[in-house]
Amino acid sequence: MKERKLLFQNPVTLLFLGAAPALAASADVRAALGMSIAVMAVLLCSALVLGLVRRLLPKEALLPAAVIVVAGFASMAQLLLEALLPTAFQMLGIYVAVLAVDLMVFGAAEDAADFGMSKGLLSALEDGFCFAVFVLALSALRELFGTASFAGAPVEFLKPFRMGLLSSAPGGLILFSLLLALFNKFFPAREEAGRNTSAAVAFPVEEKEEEA
Amino acid sequence: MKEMILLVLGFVLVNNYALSAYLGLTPMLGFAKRGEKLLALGLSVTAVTLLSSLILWLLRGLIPAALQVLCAVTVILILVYVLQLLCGKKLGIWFPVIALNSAALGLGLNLLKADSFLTVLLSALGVGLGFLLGLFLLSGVQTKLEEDQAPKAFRGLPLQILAAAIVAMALTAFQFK
Amino acid sequence: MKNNLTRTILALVLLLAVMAGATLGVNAITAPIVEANRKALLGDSVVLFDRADPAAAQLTVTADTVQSVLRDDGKQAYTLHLSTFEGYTKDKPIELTLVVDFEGRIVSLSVDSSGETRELSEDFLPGFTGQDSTLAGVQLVAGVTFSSTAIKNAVNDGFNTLIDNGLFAAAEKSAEQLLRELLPTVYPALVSGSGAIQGEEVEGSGSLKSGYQASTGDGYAWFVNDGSADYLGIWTLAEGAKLYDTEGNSVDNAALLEEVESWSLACRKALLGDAVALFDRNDASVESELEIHGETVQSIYKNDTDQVYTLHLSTNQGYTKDTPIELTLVVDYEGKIVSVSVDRSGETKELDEGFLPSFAGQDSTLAGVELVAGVTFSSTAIKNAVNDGFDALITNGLVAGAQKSEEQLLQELVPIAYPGIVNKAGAIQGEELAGSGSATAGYAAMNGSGCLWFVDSGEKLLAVYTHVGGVTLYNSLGEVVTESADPALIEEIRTLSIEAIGERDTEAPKAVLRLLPEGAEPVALEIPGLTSCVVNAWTVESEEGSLYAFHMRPYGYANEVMDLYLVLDESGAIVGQRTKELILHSEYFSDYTLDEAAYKEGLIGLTADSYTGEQTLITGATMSSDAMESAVHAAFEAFWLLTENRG
Repeated sequence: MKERKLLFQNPVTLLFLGAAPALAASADVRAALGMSIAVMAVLLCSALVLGLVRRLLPKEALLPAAVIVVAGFASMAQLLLEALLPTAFQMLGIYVAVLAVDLMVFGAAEDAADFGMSKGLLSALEDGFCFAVFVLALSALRELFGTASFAGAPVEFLKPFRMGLLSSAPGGLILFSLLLALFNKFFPAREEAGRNTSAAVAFPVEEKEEEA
Repeated sequence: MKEMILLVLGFVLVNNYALSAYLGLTPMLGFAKRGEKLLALGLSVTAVTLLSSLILWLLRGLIPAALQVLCAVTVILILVYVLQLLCGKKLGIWFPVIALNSAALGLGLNLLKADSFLTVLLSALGVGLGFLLGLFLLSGVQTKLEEDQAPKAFRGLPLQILAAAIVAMALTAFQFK
Repeated sequence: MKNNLTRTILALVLLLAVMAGATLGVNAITAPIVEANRKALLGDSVVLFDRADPAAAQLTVTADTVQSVLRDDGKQAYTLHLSTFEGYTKDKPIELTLVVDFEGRIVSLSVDSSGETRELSEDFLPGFTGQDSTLAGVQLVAGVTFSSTAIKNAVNDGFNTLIDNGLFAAAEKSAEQLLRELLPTVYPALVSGSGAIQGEEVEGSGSLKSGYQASTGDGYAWFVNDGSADYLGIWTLAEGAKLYDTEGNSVDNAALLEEVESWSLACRKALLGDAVALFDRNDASVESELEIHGETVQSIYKNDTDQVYTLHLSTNQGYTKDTPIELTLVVDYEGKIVSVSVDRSGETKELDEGFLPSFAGQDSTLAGVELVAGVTFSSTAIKNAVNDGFDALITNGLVAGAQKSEEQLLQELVPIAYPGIVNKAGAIQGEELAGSGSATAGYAAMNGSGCLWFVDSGEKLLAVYTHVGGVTLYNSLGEVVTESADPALIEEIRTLSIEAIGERDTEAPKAVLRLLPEGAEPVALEIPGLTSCVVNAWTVESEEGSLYAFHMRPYGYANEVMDLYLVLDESGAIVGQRTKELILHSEYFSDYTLDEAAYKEGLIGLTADSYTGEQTLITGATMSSDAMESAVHAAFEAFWLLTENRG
């Protein structure tokens, strides 16, 4: 049995796994906030349910079970977001639903399935927090400098410095990469506590790089 | 005929799901790096995307709006299991890459409103081929990146994503037709 | 095992059912809130039609694009939600909100979600505001044609829905709008692919209200109104006058046809001046007595008022071979150019600014016209075309050909007299040198082989100095006059040259020493005669007889200098070679395929007789390949000059 991971243990891997929702939500601060809340909720609920049912299921059923549970909560998050935060919902479109197959969510869900509820919940909290910090920072930068506005309100003095590129898909990727590098600098990956979820197995990110 | 070709090309080049809508970006980046069996992976993803989109589109009248995501995910899961059975071996780490590919899900959901069977077929084909193209482009870039001495903080993912951004920018050249 | 599988599937199905149930439960709670939100957004509007709720429909809607129609009595407007899949991406529809006031004018049109909003929202959508159902003022936007067509069609659907249900009357399309829409079918040459009119607006007269003129003056389109009806009048040089009504039917109205023809001819005359056609390739009515060779000259007009000839020229030699460059050349009766202008060309900026004005005032020798770097292809093409134009005038005795000046003749001699200073296209590759004494001006070759002087010592001469060959003098007829020239002049040129470009470096570089037997001490050689790019030569006595080493510096890709060293044995066969950079880095990116080692090995053993030029061919890297070829040739030439000279 391996150690529970630490806060910001490997934010780069985490954010890489959650790249699609992170980037999709990062064009506008309101969307980012909505997405962060949705991610946190889906993470926590999935971890909770999987922690509860894990002993009732055969081992090989864990991954599909996780998929179904996460998809269910993603649907619910989508419905709730539409009802409660319609603005954010409009901007996010199908991306909340896409959380259903997001590898980042599976990280926490599988932690819960593999190591029990408490560790799963802790993972979920940390991942959700880390995701929120990152996505909010990214979206603030993209919105401020891409469209010279903040949460939809125009920021006049930034108008002359507007970079249209930032609001496009490639611009999002560029900023994403720069922020990742920043995270890499201040929270370098700690190898000893690497994850063992299928997502992390499928996408070992920079651990291999160090050996080379 | 021209429209059909444009539709497929549109998804390969202009609206490449991973590079312009971020859908399927993670598996693309994760696997471009390994540079192994890219063709097989790309084609499996294409096949699953194609079949799941078609099945979902055919079922579209029967699914309540609230359950679309659950149904889509279930369809994809079953498809990947069938794929696994057909291949006669464990897909291993490929399983999540194919099953949890947001391109397949995203397209399936987007296409629920599409007007004809042909549109669905060609769109799914385009998205799958776009995924394959992205894989090849990025793995090419990746090989070059490995030879270079980048600053430590940039090594690995950040540089890879930067490369993806540049590829994405290159593809915007095809935009606005 | 089987049991286990059943259990797994059962568990998963159960889980699925639970999650689905929970989702439906949440949906039951959120659905009313979502509905309430939607209602709140609608305000006090009345729903006339909603695709999601067909029961409440008060309108008959046939178009698939129309999603909902609302009436807002407060704002006195209808709001329509439109959704079209005709845009560039077929997976996501373009969603539009169209607001039309009760009078049938568009209040606003906005796109809710679309992949390509920037061009649309900045240029295209604002154009809809204030339009009526004819959408007469809406122009498609280049670059987003698909989407803008889709949007225009969707808005049309919306209008038709409102009109079909009698909510307001359709606006009449104006006669001019109808006629304008005819243009692409009846006179396609005047309209570009996107439907924009390619022509100059011209004033009408009488029944002809206004019109357009094709840039060549070969055709006109007129909006005609004779007081009773509107027509579209077309006149072309080839087919004469035609008249169409607003339905697109051909109309036979002799009076109007006559009016169209005569006014078009008048406009054409105004455009062309009172010129008389001497020759016109496109106008069969002109009976030409001129003798015209080649395809460049399209037409020649004579204008006695301005005392000029106007020539239309067209050349395909420009950078893009598919679109010809069209020129208008005006030459006065004295044979001097009044102006040259380009009608259509892909690369006009550089041409317009320096090149074309330099033609003004030139005579048929075009002595003062210099090719422009960066647009070499086009400027060469234009110069040649103008030359063709002059040839046509001169052969037909319209103007007298000017004599080329001696300076010009000497200029033209340079590529023959000193091949080492010009690149393959014949342009001088050198740094300008200030003249002194008898030399009026000069150039130092970029490859360091020597320099070139224009000399005026009573007679105008061209002097070439190379490190390996010394001074050679040419007169304007191209004859070598070194022997008969004043030795003091030759000495003067030699001193001047050494001052300008330095002494010859006789010491053999390492690259050469490595190719020679160990310990060899090569002696610098003079080559009696001129070779294209040999910049240095040495000889050494070895056990196998004399060896000759040559250093060639040809101009490769982008006129960069390449370095090639060759060693030849007594029989003239290559025994050693060395290149610093076989393919200049800039050409690496071109599409060449080459096994460098084998390529270089292939040079060994070649002699002047066995060398065909093919051995140095590098497929795909033309410039480098050409440079190598000329360098190897030069080496053989130098060897020949040396050995011939020795007897």
